[in-house]
Amino acid sequence: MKAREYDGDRFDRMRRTAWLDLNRIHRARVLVVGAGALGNEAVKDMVLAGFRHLVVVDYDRIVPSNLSRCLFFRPEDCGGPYKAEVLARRASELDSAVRIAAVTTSVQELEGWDYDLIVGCLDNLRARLHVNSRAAFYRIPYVDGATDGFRGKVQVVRYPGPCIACTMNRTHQRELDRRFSCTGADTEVQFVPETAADITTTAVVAGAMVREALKIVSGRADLCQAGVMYYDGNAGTATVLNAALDPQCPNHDEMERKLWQQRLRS
Amino acid sequence: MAAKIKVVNESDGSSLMIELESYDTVDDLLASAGEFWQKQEGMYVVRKGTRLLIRGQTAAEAGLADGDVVEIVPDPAGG
Repeated sequence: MKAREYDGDRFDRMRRTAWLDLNRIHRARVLVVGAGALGNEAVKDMVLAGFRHLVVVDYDRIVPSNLSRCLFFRPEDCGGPYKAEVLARRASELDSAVRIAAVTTSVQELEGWDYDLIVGCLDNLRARLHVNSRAAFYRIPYVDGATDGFRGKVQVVRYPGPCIACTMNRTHQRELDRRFSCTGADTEVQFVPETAADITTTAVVAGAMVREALKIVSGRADLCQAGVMYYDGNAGTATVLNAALDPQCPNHDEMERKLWQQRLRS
Repeated sequence: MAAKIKVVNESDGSSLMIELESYDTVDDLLASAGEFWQKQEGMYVVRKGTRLLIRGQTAAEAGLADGDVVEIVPDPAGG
């Protein structure tokens, strides 16, 4: 044995965390929805952490304002290929064992939801609710992240626990109503106002998302944050708030509500 | 019986007192607070301690009582 032979193993330092299951991480099939700032950071973290089978879906193209937060985008990409394609290609360069497929449609058009995990890196509530409903239907664990300036949040959805829709209220409904207007027969126009964003918050949120993903895929969902993590970069704080099943939420049936109550009691 | 609740705007630390009937919901609370702070846009959640309150919960169901403090927290949606 040579001194420091262990440094020849790419994942040596990860193997030193006993509960991380690299075999399961390598095998997991993960859908990443969104190839913007959060998508770039999350995919970077996932590839470095050993995820090898990713599908990235996003139908946007790269613009210069993406370049302050997206590690894998370059100025020459602006106006060129789709974000998902560039992200898949450049992130694959980090590890030759990684396979990343790019899907350049909207997530609403995506078919074949056969994944072990969904990582949500979306920028609007409507797409988030669509993914949430698919995750609910197929019972796929869903880690969702979001940012707004120096604030961020991470929610882990694992059935029978509360989902994204369970944490919504009238302010979310108001935004949904505002952002979509019918402009004629069968035509819907989406308006998503640009919000403040910065790479430090994106990195914190994406890091927390992938940390939760590692727990789930390693079979240690019991270690997952017990609620929704709210990050406030202005104050330098992160708080986990306990969410509950909304009795009116259509994504849960009576049996799940009972299971959830049992889990709370235990 | 009505309960006087302190509502804190987590964005700037300002607060207001709201009187809730036992049948008033979390959505009712948000509507009143939104009117007071002129919040015509943006998404928020309501927390009591470490608990996120559900939109349809009444004050009674949420266990809100005289002197309680709840916070209105911005809910990010960007990516």
